[in-house]
Amino acid sequence: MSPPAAGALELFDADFLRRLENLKLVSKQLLPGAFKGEHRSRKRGSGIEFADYRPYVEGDSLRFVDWPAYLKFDKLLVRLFEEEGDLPVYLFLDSSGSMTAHVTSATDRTELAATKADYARRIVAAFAYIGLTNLDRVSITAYADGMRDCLDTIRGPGQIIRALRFLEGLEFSGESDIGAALVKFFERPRRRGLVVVVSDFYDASADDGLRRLFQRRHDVLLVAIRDPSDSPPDIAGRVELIDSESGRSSLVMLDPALVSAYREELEETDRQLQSLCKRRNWSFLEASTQVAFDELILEVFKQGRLLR
Amino acid sequence: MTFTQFPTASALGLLAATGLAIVLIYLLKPPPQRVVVPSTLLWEKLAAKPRPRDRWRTLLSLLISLMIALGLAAVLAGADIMGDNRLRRPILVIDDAPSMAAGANQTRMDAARDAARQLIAGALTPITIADTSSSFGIRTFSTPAAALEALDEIIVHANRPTAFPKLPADWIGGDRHLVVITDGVHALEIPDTARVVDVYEPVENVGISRFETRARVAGSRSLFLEVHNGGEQPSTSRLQIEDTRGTTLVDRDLDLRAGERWTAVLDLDQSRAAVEPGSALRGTVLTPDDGYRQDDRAWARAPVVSDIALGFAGPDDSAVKRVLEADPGVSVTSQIETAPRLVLEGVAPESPPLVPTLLIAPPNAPWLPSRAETKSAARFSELRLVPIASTASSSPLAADHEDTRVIEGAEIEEVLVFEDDALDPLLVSDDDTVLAGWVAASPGSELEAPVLVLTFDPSTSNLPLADSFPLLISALVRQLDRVVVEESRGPGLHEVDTSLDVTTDGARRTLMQDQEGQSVRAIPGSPGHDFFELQAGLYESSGGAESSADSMTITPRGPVTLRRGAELQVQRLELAGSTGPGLSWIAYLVAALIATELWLRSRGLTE
Repeated sequence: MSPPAAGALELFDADFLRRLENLKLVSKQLLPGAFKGEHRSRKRGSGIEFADYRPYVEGDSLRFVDWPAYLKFDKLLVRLFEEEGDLPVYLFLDSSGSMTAHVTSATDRTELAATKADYARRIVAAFAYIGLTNLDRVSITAYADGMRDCLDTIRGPGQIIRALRFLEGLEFSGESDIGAALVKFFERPRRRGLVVVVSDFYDASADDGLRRLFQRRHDVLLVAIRDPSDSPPDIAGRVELIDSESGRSSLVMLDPALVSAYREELEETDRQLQSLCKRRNWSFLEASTQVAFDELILEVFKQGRLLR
Repeated sequence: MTFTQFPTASALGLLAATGLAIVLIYLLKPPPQRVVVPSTLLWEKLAAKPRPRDRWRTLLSLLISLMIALGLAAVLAGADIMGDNRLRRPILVIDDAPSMAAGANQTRMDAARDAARQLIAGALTPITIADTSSSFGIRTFSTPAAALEALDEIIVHANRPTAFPKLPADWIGGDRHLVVITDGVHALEIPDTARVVDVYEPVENVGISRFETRARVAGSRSLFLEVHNGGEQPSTSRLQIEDTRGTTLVDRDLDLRAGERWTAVLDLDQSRAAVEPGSALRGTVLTPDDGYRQDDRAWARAPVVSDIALGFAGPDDSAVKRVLEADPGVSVTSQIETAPRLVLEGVAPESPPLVPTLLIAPPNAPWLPSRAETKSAARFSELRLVPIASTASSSPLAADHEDTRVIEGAEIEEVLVFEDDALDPLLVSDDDTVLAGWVAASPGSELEAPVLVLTFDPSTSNLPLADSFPLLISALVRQLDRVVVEESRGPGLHEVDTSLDVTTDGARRTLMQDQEGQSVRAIPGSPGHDFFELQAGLYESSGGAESSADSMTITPRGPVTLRRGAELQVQRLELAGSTGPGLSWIAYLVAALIATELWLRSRGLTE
C-alpha cells in the first residue's frame, strides 16, 4: 500500500507514514476477527497455522485427517488450523481542556500549540494507521464531558485520510470523563478487541470506566501523556491554581514541601495505573511529550512489546 | 503612665492607628498569583491530606500574631515589663516646675500626683519623695498613707529654679527604684537607672512671650510686646496693658492662628496716657480654655532716663550750644568748674580735664597730641595719621584732611566723619553705642577722664545743621558718660529671645515659649516625646535687682539653627519614653514582627 499524499495531512509527513507501514499491530491476546485480517484467531478455520486435533466426525473433509496419527494411534484425528481474522481496535482520545493547558500566569494565558493534544492525536493517528493498513476495524472516539465525537468502524487503508481529518478537526475543551464515554460507546454490542486510551488521566471517573473494559475482557493499552505543564508551577507563596478544564480555583501555599508532595502524588498516580494494568494483564505506557514522537512510536512501542 | 492614665483621645488615637495598621497589613498582603494548571485534581487530593508542616505553619502564624497583639497591648497599656518593682524601695522625684501647671481640666501636676499615688499604693517598703524645686525637699515616709498625704504639699512653683534633687549616690540603683514623674519640659539630669513617667499633655496656650521696655538714646521709650498662640487651634484673646495708676494703655481683641506670633511696639511717650518713668506696666492676655495660665500675665517697668548735666564754654552764638539747649535730656550750665561734664568749643584747658569733656575744634594744648590715627572706611585696612584741625579751621571735611593739624598718638575709637558718607549710620551702632569721637591724649600725659575731640568747627563745616549736626552733638555728649537707661521688670517676667528656630531631623520647628523663661516645645515622636528646653537671655528677678544670664540651653534631637540670639549650649535630653525603658523597643519589636509576618506570608511560610 502506498502512503497517503503528504499534502493532505498535517499530523504526519509522508516519510513517517511509510515507516509506520511496516509495523504490525499485535495484541497480546489472540482475538477473533469478523473479517480475514492479518491476525491469528482462535476460531479454527482454513488457515495454515496448525492449532490442534479433534476426533473425526462424519462430514469432515478427509483433507484434514492426520494419516500418520491414524497409523500411530489407530484413531481418525482431524488437524485444526488457526484462522486469520481482523482485530477490532477501539481508540479513545481524551479531548478535554487539560490536554491543551500550559503552566502560565493568569495574565498570560497563551496556550502554546496544545502540545499534549497534538502528541495524543499523533499517537492515535499512528494506531489508526497501523490498524487500517493491517485490515483491522478501527473506531476513534474523542471524549470530554461524555462522548464528544466518534468515527465508528472504519476498515481498510483507504480510510486513513478520513481518520486523520477526523483527528485534525477535534476540539479540546471540557472535562474529561472516560467512564461516561465508555458507557456510551459500548451501549451497542461490540466485539472484544484492543482498546487504546490516550489521555493524561486527570479523570476522577477513570477507575470505574476502566473496570468496564476489564469486565468485557478487552485487551487494553493505556497511554498516559505527560508534559511539563503537569509539573507544579515554579513559584512560591500563595498561589491560586485554576483548573483548565473546569475553571475551578484552588488556593494553595506553594512551598518546596508541597511541590515535592505533588510530584510524588503524580508519580503515584502513574504507578497506580501501571499496577492496574499489570493486574489485569493490560499494557501501560507513559509517553512524555519531551520524547521525540518518532522515537516514541518506533522505539518505545517496541520496548513495550506493543509493536513488532 | 499606665493604661488607666492614658488620655481618652490619645488612647482612641492609638487604637485607631492600630486598626489602621491592621487594615494596612491586610491591604498590603500580596495577592495570590493566579496560575492555570491542567487539573487541580491532584492538588485537591493533596489538600485533603494533612501535612505535618501545616500544623507548624499555623502555629508559627498564631505565635507571631499573638506576639504582635501582645506588643500592641503593651504599647497601649504601657506595661512595665521590666519586672516587679514593688519590693524595691521607691524614690519618687516629682517635677514641680512651672510647666507642670499646664493643663486644661487636669494639670500635669494633677497627673503626676495620680501617677505617684499609684506607685505609692503598691509600695511595700518605705517611700521617699522629692521635688525638683527643693521646696518640698527630700522626705521619707514609712507608710504609704503618710506619703499619700504629703503629696498634696507638692505644688508648682513659678519662680524657683528647677533641678534634679541631690540624692545620695547610693540611692541610685541598687535596691531602690527611682521614678521620675515629669512632663519632660525642664532638662533634668535624670540617672540612667531611673524610670521616667511622662505626664506631658499638650495644651492650647496663648501667652505673652515678650514684654519688655527700652529707652533709646535720643529716642522715645518703647514697649516691645509679643503674644504667641502656641496651641494647635486658632484663638481669640483679649489683650490688656495697664499701668499702676490703673490707666489702660491697650485693650483689644487678638485673633491668632495656630502658632502665630503677634508683635507690636508701643510708644510709651506717645500713648494715650503718658507713662510715668519708673511706673510698672502689666500685660494680660485672657483666652478661653487656656491650658497654661503662667504666661498670661507679664510685668515691666517704664524706663527712667536721667538728664545729662554739663557745662558749656564757647562762643555765645555757638550752634553747639543751641543744640545742647534744645536736647531734652541735657541740662546746660555755664558753671564749668562744678559741672560733671564739659563741652568746650574753641577753647581747651591747660591741663587734662578732670571730668568727661568734649573738645570741639580745640586750640593747641600741651597735653593734647597733635595728630591722631584714624581708619578710613574707604581704605579700611589703612591706618593714617589724621591732623586734628586747627582751631576754628574751615576744614570742609576734605577727603584727606591734608591741611589740618595732626595730634600724634591719639587713640582712635572710631572714624568720626567721612566725606560722602551718610552721617547717621556712623553715629549709632546696632547696640546703641556711639561710634563717633575718641579719647585723645599726648604721649606721657594721663587723662583723668574721657576726652572726646571733634577736630573741626561744626558750625563752619558742611554738616547739615538742622539734621545731622544735632544728632552728632547729642550722641557725642551722651558718649561722655553713657546714658543710664533704667529698665526693670516685675516679678516673674523674663526676657526671651523670640526668634529661635530649631531644626530637628530636617524639620523646622518653632519653640513654644512662656514667660518663665522656658521655651517649651514637645514634639511628639515615635515613640514617646522629645522635649526641648530653652533658657535664654533670662533676667532673673530677685528682690528688685536684676541679673542677666547669657547662657542658653536647648535640648533638641538634632542640630540647632539659630536665626538670632545668644550662643547655645546644645544638650540632649534623654527621656526614654512615656512609660519607661521598655516602650521604645516594644514598639520597634512590634514593627519588626509585623514586617516578619509580611515576609513570611510572602514566602508562603505562614498562612
